[in-house]
Amino acid sequence: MGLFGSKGRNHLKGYKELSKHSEIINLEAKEGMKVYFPTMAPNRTPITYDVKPGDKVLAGQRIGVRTDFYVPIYSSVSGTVLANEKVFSTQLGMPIPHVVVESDGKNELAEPLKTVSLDSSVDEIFDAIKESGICGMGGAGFPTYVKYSGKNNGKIHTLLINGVECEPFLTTDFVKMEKEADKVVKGLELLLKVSGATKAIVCLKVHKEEARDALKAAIGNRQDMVVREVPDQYPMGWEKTLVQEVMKKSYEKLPSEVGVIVNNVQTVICLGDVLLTGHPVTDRLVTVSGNAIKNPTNVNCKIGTLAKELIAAAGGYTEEEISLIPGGPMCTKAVNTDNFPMLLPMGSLTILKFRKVVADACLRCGQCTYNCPAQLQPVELKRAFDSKDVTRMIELDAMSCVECGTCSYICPSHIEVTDYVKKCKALVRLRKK
Amino acid sequence: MTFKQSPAPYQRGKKSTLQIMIELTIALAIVWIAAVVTTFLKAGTKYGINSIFLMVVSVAVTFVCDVVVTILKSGFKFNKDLLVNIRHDIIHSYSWVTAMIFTLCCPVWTRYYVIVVGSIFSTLIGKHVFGGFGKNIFNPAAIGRIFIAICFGAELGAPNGFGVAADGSTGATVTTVINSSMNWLGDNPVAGYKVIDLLTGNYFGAMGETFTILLVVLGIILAIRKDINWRAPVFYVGTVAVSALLIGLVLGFKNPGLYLLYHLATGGLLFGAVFMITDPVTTPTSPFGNCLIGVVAGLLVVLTRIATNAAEGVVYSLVVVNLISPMIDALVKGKTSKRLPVKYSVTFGAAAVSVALSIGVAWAQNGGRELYAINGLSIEEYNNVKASCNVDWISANDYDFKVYSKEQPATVQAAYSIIDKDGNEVGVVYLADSKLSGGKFVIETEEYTLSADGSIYVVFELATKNIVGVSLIKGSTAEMYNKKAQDWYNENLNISGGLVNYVPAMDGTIGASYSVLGFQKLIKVAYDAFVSDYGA
Repeated sequence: MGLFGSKGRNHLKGYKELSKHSEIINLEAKEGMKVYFPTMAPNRTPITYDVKPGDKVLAGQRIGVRTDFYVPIYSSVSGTVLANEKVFSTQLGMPIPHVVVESDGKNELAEPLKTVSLDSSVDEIFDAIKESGICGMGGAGFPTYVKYSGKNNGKIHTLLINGVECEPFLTTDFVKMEKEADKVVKGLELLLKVSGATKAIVCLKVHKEEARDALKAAIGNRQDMVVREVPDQYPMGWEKTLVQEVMKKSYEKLPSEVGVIVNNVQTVICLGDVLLTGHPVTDRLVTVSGNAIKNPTNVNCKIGTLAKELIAAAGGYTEEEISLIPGGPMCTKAVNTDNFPMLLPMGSLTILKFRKVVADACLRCGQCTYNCPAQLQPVELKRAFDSKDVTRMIELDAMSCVECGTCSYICPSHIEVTDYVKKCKALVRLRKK
Repeated sequence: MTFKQSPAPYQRGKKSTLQIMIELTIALAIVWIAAVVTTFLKAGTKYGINSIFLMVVSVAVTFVCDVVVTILKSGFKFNKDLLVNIRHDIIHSYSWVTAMIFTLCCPVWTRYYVIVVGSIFSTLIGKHVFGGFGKNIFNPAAIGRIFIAICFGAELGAPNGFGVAADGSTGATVTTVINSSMNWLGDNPVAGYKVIDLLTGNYFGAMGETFTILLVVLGIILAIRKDINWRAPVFYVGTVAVSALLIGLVLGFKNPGLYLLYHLATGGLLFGAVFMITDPVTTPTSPFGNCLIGVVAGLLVVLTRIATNAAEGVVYSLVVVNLISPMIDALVKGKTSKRLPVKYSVTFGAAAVSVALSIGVAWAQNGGRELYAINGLSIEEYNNVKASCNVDWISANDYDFKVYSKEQPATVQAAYSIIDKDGNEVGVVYLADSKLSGGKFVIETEEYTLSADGSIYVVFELATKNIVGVSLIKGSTAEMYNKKAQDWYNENLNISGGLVNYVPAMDGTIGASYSVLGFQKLIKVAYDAFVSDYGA
């Protein structure tokens, strides 16, 4: 942390045991179940669909494509396309039209995509990644192939595979690593080849012995892959913190500056699957956990399944007033409906008993500054917001905030510091427009 | 079943502001209990009870202030809400912490009305006029303490039995004695105070400030528990410590370690470091800002002590850094981890400059005595004269000044009476077999308010039979005395042909200048001795 910097890491109570070893519920695509595909990407660019109501589609059939980055969208079930429906989008924070596919319960698979193997050329593998439509499954949803595009040629020496899962409650990375360790290795082989990196480091938190041992067994004697345990601290799963911890290097914008690509471990598993079998991703493991859900567990569901079906599968709510969080409890904002689809990047639903937070006066203790992983000064940003001083917000580098929630977590006066910083960012964006 | 909306995150840390304040309260209570026990043991029941009730009164008064403010804010609507608000405001203004710090800054002999006035000032003017907890600019306790020091300075002096002067009856406290006797420059100035006393609090000062070891331990515990930030206090105490140590070494004090200890263990430095400069509301929020104010406050403490008339610098230094804190906050931009070379060089550069400045000022203060000590003589000449002179004086006490001698001389050449201002003979000065050196004749004496090295020197030149120089007085009020003495000297003595118009009562008008009076008498005695020996 140094004399003038901030520590930026805190141990949080993880609550992982709630769902870590629970039996995985498999939510089949029964006849009549609907899956939803958004018509807008998180950055509000449209996604165009080349199917119309009444069309029959198969599972894994390409139905649309995003218009800025090339990201094809594949149906996760086989069935009939229905009329567009407006449902809530957690990525955009408002209801938007979604393309609806009603399952016929048969789950018929479409023709596989072109498969690749380790003998394929780098270009072939890259194209296959691009065609797979896979976006980062850690939550950000950034198209994976972009990280491997030509501009980084020769600069990348290490792949950091992020299985840290530092948010409380989440256990999908853990379960996937434990159960599908061999797939991690297969996916990594391809990624090492396409990136030109010589080493892959799979990172996970300490005290995850089962996953660690499974990975070690799968890696065996390979020299180009290692398992690395990192401290149980938040936000260790943030790229910057992880690169700092493992590589002892810091970068400005992208990890590629220091020769590193960071990928979520489930992204690697899915990529390996899709590239070797040719069948696009149709399922995703979701942690449904919290202190207001009957049976906290992991649910394997079709992409586009509504959240309420997952919650029903986990036994339903147990409290009258709840916070439904479509993600982990630190970063993600609660939503006011459970009628939204689970998309590829969304790995969890956290259902917590609602707790009213009463704020005290800010005593300017600076704990938020001393603990900010982005090395910002949230207390000063809050003051800048109080006086609506946008120049000061820019001076304080508000846009570097990653909204990890540490400042609100640490604030002894229980002030919604993170929320103030988010508001600052909104004001700065307005100014820059 | 309802979906409630509130901002992320939904998991929160355990530590609350109330908890921090309670832990601070416990720490302050420990200091207070130590003060109560010490007072009962050392000063008896009367003052022991005082030490308990001063705190009780102060905290009670601050609660009354909170209630009054809440009622004022409510617009005199006396209903159920008001009670709820009062309860909330009393708990969430955390005024009792201010009151406790304020009380522990005051000595145990403080009058109750002084505590009441100070407590009201701290809470109302120091805190509530700015909008309450979290919005005040100045440390409320420090502001209250300065207010009573200005308004009730005389009442805060030590009563009989608590003083540290030889007769135990003056109003001097440890710090005022250190200040007036040596202006914070010199060796062990307070007779009878040992290292162990300074470390354990076995002397009288403000209630909370004397327990050096206890304060260090509490500070470490609070810092580990993250109730206080370690940066400001470490840089604060560090700057003072390094400055004091180097001053001691550079000026060649006999015991630099003891000198350092006086700086650290008296005057409330550690109490201020643990409980006051750590007040988050009035200090910068950034780590860099915290380090910097520590350095600035440390510099101010040292300079206040060695270069001004004030005996104590801690509360003043705190209020000044409170004043510059918003500016430091405004200067720290961008990420805290950026521009580290600038931050390191500013902090440690400021620390180095502060230490150097303190040493420089100390050297000038200390050396300055000799520089203008003897008019017309170089320091070297003066030292030679002083060393080779065989004049001895036996001790004689005067109302105004004391004349010390090492031993009674074997042969007494002459005896002179020392007359106090009422004309009574209070002692005899013997002139030994005086020997001359370099045509100069030097008489040493010790003056009422001690000069920097405890002596005043009067030098005569044999050839002209004139006084060629008189060392002047050092001390808290040296400037005024020196001016007076210099004027008098110019008017009456520095005239060819010797002493004329000797007017001993010249300072009757200002009353306080017994020092000057004594000074004049000294010169007169010296002159008489000289004339008797060598003729006018």
